[in-house]
Amino acid sequence: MNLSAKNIGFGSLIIMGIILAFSPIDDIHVNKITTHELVHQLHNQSNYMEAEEVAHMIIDKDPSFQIIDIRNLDDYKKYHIPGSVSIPIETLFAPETHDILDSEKTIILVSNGNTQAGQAWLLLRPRGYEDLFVLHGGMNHWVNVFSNPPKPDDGAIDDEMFTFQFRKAAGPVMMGTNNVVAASDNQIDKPKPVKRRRKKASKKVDEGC
Amino acid sequence: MAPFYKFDYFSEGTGFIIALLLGVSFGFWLERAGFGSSKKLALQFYFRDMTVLKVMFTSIVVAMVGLAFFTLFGWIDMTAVYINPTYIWAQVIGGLILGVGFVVGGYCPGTSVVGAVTGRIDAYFFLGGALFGMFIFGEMFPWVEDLFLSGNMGAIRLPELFNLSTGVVVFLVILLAIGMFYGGEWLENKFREEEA
Repeated sequence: MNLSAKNIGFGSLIIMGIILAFSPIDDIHVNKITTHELVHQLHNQSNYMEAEEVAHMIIDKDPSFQIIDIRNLDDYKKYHIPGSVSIPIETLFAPETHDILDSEKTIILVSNGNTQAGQAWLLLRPRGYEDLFVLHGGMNHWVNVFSNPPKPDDGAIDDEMFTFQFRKAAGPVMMGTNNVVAASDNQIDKPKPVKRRRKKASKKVDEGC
Repeated sequence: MAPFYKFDYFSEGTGFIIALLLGVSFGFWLERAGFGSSKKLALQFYFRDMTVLKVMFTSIVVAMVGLAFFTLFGWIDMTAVYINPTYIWAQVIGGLILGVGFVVGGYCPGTSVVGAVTGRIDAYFFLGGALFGMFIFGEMFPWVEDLFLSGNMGAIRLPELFNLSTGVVVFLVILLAIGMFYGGEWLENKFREEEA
C-alpha cells in the first residue's frame, strides 16, 4: 500500500477511532461547573430571578419550576410563597431533600434576603442543578413589593407603571392576607434589573443540508 | 468550557452574529464543493459522482471525532448540547419526500439557496417550490400533526440505541465512512464505464 494522502488520512482516522473506542468517554462528566464559571455567574448576577417573574410563574401555574424555601420551619409556617416547599438550609443535603429537588426543573431558592439563598445556590449549583436561581431580594423584598408596592413617581415610564399595577394586582394572591410583616435578618438592597439567562424548555432547532 | 452560549460566555446577539458567519461560510464551502450545480448533485443518484456522499460523511466524521475528543479532554459538556429528538416515522416519510424532491429538482434546501445566489435559474424555481411546499404543509398541519409527531424516540443517540459505548460507535461510524468512500468510488468507476 502506497503512502498517498488518502491512505494516511484513512489510517490516522482508524487510529483515532481505535483510541476513542477504548477511551472512557461516557464516564467523563464535564457537567461539573468550574469555580471560574460560578464566580462568573455570581458576578454578572445571572443567578437572580426577580420577584415579578416568580409571581408570573405562580399565576401561570407553570409546572416546570420549584420554589424552595430554605428558612427555618417556623418562619415557613408563618408565611411562605404559595406553592413553595420548605427545605431548611441545614437539611439541604439530607437524603429526603434529594428526592424533593428535581434537577429537570427550574429551582428558585428563597431566604429572607439574598445571602443565605446565595450560599445555598453556591452549594447546589456544582451538583448538577443547572436551572438554579435565587429569588432576588428574598422574602423581605417579596413581602414588600406585594403587600405594599412602592408607588412610582409621576414621571414614571410605562414599564414602571405596569410593574406597579402587576404588583398591586398580584398582591392578594401572593400574600394571602395583607398583614404580614417581613422577617428581617438581612438588609436588602433595592434590586435592579439584571441580565439573566434561563434555559429554554426545549428549543426547536432546524437543520439540514 | 463549551458550549460557550450555554455557559453565558456570550449573549444571544453575539450568538446570532456567529450563526451568520457560520451560515455564510457553510454556503461558501458548499459552493466551492460544486454543490451550487444541480447537475452535479443529481449525478449522485445515478452513482456517477459521489461527491455529496463523501462531503456528508467527511463532515459527519470530522464533527463526530472532534466532539468525542473534546469530551475526552473535558472541553465540552455534551449534555448541554441540544440534540434533535427523533420522530422515526415522521422522519422516514419526510426523508423520502425530501429525497424525491432532491432527485427531481437536483437540489436540497441548503444547496438551492447556494444555487440561487450564484444565479442559477433552476434554483429559483426550486426555492419557489420549497416555499410553496412549506405553505401547503403549514396549511394542512392539523391533518398531518399525528404523523408529524409519530414514532417519538426522544433525543436518542446511536450509543443508547445500540447500547454500546460512545467510543465504539465512533469507531464503527469511521469504518462505515471509509467503507462508503471506497464503495462510492467503486460505484463511480463502474457507472462511468457503463456510460462510456
